[in-house]
Amino acid sequence: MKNFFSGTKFRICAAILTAMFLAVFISAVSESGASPVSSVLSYILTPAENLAVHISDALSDFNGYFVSSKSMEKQIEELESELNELRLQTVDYEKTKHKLEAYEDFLGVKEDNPDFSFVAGEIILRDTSDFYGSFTLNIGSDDGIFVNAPVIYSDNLVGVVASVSPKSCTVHTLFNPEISVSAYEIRTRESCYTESEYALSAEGFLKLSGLKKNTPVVSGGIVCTSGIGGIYPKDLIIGTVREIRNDVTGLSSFGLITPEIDYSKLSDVFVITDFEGKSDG
Amino acid sequence: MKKHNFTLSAIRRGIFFLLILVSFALQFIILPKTALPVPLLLLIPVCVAVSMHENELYSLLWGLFAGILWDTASPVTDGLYALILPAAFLITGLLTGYVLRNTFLTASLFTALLSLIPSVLGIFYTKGKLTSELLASVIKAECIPAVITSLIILIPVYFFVSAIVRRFSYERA
Repeated sequence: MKNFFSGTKFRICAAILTAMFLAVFISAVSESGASPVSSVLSYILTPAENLAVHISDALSDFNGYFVSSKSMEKQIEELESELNELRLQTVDYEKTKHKLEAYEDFLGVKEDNPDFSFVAGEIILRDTSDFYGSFTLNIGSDDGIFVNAPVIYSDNLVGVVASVSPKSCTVHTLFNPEISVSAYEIRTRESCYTESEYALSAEGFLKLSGLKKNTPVVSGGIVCTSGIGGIYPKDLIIGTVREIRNDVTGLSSFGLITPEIDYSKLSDVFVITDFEGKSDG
Repeated sequence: MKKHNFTLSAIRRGIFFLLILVSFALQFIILPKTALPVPLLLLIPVCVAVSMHENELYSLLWGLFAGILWDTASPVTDGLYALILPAAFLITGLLTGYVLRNTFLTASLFTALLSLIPSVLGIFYTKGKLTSELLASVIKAECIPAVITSLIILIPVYFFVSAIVRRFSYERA
């Protein structure tokens, strides 16, 4: 081992580790939040990751085709090819239908909010080791995406852009403790804000803090963004109140809410790049 | 003879390169679409197995490659994977080269320890006070499943990498 520490290999290893340390430092202080190495590599990796997503989708389609054709063989051999063709068409139809439904929802949101500017993004990577379900989109600063841009699905708030590289961006979901959203409950109009804790997020809950001690908010109430702060537009749905509890201090209450959509099942989202009341800061 | 040795090394490292790429694609693109109850950290056992069969410099380079890939999927960690993984696999390569024997047991030990990296980073990036309740829930919900699944994945990966090294090494040829 002595030879290693006195040789050229050690110097090369030390140089690489120092460079990576500097990259971490630059990333920590930069506005984009992305490592410079990741930013440069996003030019190569994002198209490759897009391709991998499409290959993965194509393979899952092929698998469905294969399994079904096997079972069909036993039953009606003469209709096998025709049936499989129809099955493939159905898969295509279902996919297109799903996409169309999503776009119809977005169109509705756009009609209700003509001030919104959207960029559509596809989820290309999911960090399964992240506690709060962060994911990466195939759009980045080249598409007008910036840090803190709100991410929505239909009229539901999903999260916020946490870091941007030229060709991709990473999104923190509402379950991330770094995100707190100013909100209100639509029936009572009571102001509140969302928070997240590891234990609650593991059970699929967000914490609704800032409620009065004897709050009129009850289970089933819908919580929307208030628009205060200028990061999130007003009236995006955050979730539904499931439970109201008293705070340990006894001076206030808090609620447990669940988002309307399952973030782990999303494949396409929209990033809002501009809206009325957006903060310039 | 030298040229032949170079060709064998190139083939071996080409296979390692593909193995890491496939693991990355599985971990971040394909498996998250399935309804697996626990996250699978494929890159950790793969890089442990590879670095245990490489010299120190290559161990670091494979760790760097895996770390950069991981950071593209998780840049919220400020590029820390591209610093931690090369350092971790450099140590793995050094220990296997000079102190410990290259056995499945040693690989299991490294895998179990290194599988904790994402959970440790998760705690590091969790805003708020580090309470014993938080630590207990992270150990139960993240650390233990990560270690168990990584050790299971290590079994085929370690023997596959060993077989590749045996097949594409100069001594064998």
